[in-house]
Amino acid sequence: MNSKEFLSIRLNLKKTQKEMAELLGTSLRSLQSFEQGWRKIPNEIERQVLYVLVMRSTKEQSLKPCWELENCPLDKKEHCPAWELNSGHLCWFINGTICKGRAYSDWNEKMEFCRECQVFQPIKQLYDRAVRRGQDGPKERQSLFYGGGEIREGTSEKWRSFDLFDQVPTSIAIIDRKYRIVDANKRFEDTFGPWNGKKCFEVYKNRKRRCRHCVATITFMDGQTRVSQEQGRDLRGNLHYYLVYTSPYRDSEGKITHIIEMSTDITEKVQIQNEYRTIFDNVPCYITVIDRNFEVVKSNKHFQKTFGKDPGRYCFESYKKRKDICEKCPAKIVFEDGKTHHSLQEGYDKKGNKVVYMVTAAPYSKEDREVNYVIEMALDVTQTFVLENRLRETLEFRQTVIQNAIDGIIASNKEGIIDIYNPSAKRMLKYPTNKVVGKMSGEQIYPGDFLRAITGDDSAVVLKESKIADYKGNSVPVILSGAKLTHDNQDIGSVMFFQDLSKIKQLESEILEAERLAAVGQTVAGLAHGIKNVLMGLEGGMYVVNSGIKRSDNGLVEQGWNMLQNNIEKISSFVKEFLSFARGKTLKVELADPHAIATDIANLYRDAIEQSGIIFIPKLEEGINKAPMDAQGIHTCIANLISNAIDACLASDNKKPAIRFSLFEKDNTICYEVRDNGAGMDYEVKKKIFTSFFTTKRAGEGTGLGLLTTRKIVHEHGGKVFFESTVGKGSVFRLEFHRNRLPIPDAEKNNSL
Amino acid sequence: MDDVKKKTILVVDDEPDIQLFLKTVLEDAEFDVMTANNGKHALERISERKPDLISLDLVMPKMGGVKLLAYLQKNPELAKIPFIIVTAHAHDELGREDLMKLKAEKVLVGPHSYIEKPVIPSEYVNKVREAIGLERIEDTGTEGLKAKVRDKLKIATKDKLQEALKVLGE
Repeated sequence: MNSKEFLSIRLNLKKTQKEMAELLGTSLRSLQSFEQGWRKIPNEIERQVLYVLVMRSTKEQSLKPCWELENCPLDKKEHCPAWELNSGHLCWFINGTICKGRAYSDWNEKMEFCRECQVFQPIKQLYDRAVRRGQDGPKERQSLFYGGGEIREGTSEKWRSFDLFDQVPTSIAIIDRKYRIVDANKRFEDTFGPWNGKKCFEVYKNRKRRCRHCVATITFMDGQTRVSQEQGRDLRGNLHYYLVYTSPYRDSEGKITHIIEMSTDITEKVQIQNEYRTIFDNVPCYITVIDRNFEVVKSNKHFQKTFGKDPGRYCFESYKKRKDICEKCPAKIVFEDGKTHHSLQEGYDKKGNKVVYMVTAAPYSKEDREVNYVIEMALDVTQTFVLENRLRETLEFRQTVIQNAIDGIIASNKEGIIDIYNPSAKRMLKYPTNKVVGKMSGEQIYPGDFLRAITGDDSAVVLKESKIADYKGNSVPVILSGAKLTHDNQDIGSVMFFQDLSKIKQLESEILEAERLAAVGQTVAGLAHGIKNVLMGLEGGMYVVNSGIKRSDNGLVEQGWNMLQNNIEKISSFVKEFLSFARGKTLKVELADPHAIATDIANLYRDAIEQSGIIFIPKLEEGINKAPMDAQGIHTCIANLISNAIDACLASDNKKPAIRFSLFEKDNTICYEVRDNGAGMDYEVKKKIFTSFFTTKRAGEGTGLGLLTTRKIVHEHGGKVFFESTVGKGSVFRLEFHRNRLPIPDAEKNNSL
Repeated sequence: MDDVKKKTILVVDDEPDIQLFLKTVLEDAEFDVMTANNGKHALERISERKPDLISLDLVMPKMGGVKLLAYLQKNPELAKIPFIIVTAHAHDELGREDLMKLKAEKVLVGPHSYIEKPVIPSEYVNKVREAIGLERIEDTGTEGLKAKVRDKLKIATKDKLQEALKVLGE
């Protein structure tokens, strides 16, 4: 008799453990140990159980006595206690029986013999039936739970009434060899619906056939208890995940008749797991789990996407395409000190491109034991790295440009303090760098006109003529440009670029002198030509006079004589004009009033102009500051222009000829302008107007020196002659004098010398 | 000299003095002479009567010599008229470029030529005669001799001049 048979019989007898113990005259503890299989059930207990079964049985009366069944001879049976006690059907229960010729003193020996005896067979049937009954029916599951559980004395009643089978938070189903669900608890029914008479696969998975991988089949075969994860659909058709414990149930002969499946819903856990897996794979960094041998035991998809599906066994292979461990291995450091570390690393992706990543290497261990793994989380910063490099390059580039610029560059920050002062600026201004950068404010160096301009509305300024005081207080002429620097409408400072004009100024005056000399040279060459013309006039006149005399043609003689006279006049006017041209060598420069000069000329020419039938429109701006000029020279220039304008008007067919004479100052430049609507000039004439002795006027009316003289005087004032002309529309001549280029007044010149 | 009498020369010059001088010279050489003050004026005269030769100045107001020539070149009939440019500007900035251009454009070729001011009457007349296919007139007067000597001097070498001096000295 084994523990299960014992238990079945007790259940068949409908005895509690306590009642059974009392019946068998043993302690409750012993009985529990019998049922749980801890102790072998002794023969005397088995004998008592069999006795109880027989006495309870209705068959007891019909059992035949042993002597009848065994045809025991009288002389023998008279000596047998069974005969003596009239217990022929209980002979196996009585010691000292002599059916095999001798009495067995040892109970074990006797039972071995009795079990095989035909007298015992009905008892055995009784026994088997009792066992079977105890196993079958609704009582069975109680046996499994109450009988197998560790029930304390005095509490069993309470637990039994409390239907644990239905209360456990687990779905339980009992399945027989034909995969039928023979019993299930309430929770199972709540989860999977009605099960009565259905097969497990129908209920669990809504299938028509047995599952391909059937855990039940395997358990029926090997009798092992196993745990597996299964999927199934609940009543609403939702997919659920279950953790299933599958245990075999054996009958009294050890044969597996049923299996018990206990399933716990782990859907939520699986979902969380999936979420973590998703995060692991898709988090925008490379995650690898590295063991103590530096093998990559796990990596996420993001890692695999960049470094390849199987980039190598070791971390250094995977990340860096190296054959051995890196010099500064982040994982190694973590294994050593068990702390989290950060570092910047460079590796190569599957295509061999450089990857720069920020690694956080953290220890990973279960239950605070020794660190067995390192998790490396690497954030790809290649892009940032590239940008940083580019930024650095840009900065270096900018620095180089600033340092090597020919222009002086000074920039101040939003506090106004200078933080850029390049070598060219130093060369021009001579301030030691260490006294400027971080020490001086821009206002201390920037020239006043620049400061005024950038503090005004203009954010960017170009000043063609300005002056900066250098370290020694000397004024340096400069051309400068600059800007107020803003970002999102916030002032962030200012910058000034400038070039030293001292040299250029000097060159300019040299050029001026060269131009003047060239003008003189041209004039001398032109003079020779003019003389040639006059000479020809004289020779021609003589010829014509001679010819007239020869032909006795008085008219021709007179014409020849006029020719001679004209040319002699021409010579005298040449000499005068040339003298005035040459005289210009010494300008008489003094502070003159530009307006007064213009008014003088306007008054002088008004009558002459108007008498010629030309409308005269003087437009002379007042309030122009005095300027260092040769008033007489300027006077000559304008007079020339107006005289030309009158001629142009007279030469044109315009019905309403007009001359406009204006004076104005713009951008520090004093301008005299004479505009007519006369004949205008064609290209050939324009090309030649500044050439000496070129004239379109009739002989005796112009010498061709007027504009040349004008240009010479204007150039000597550092000015420019600007003109525009269209044939038939008129001409405009403008004399422009920039104040910064005007000559130094003679009085000052003498002082400085 | 009946053949000469028939030839007509158009003198174009803006300076009345020069105009008169050239006219007188040509009349003395028995040409028929027309005059014009500028290019435009010249075109009018040409349309009145086609001259056998045009003597023209380059630099003139309204229409200069270059423009006039360009205009004449467009008309095949007029383009055939020989011309002599009389200029004071062959070597200065006023005329040099224009002359170079005329040469480069093959306008100033064949019978067409130029003469520089101051004009020597005999030289001028001979240029005109050559241009319209007449013989040169060798001037035996002092002026003619002077002109010849001047021409020789222009191309004389140092040795030749010394040789000449030697002869003159004797």
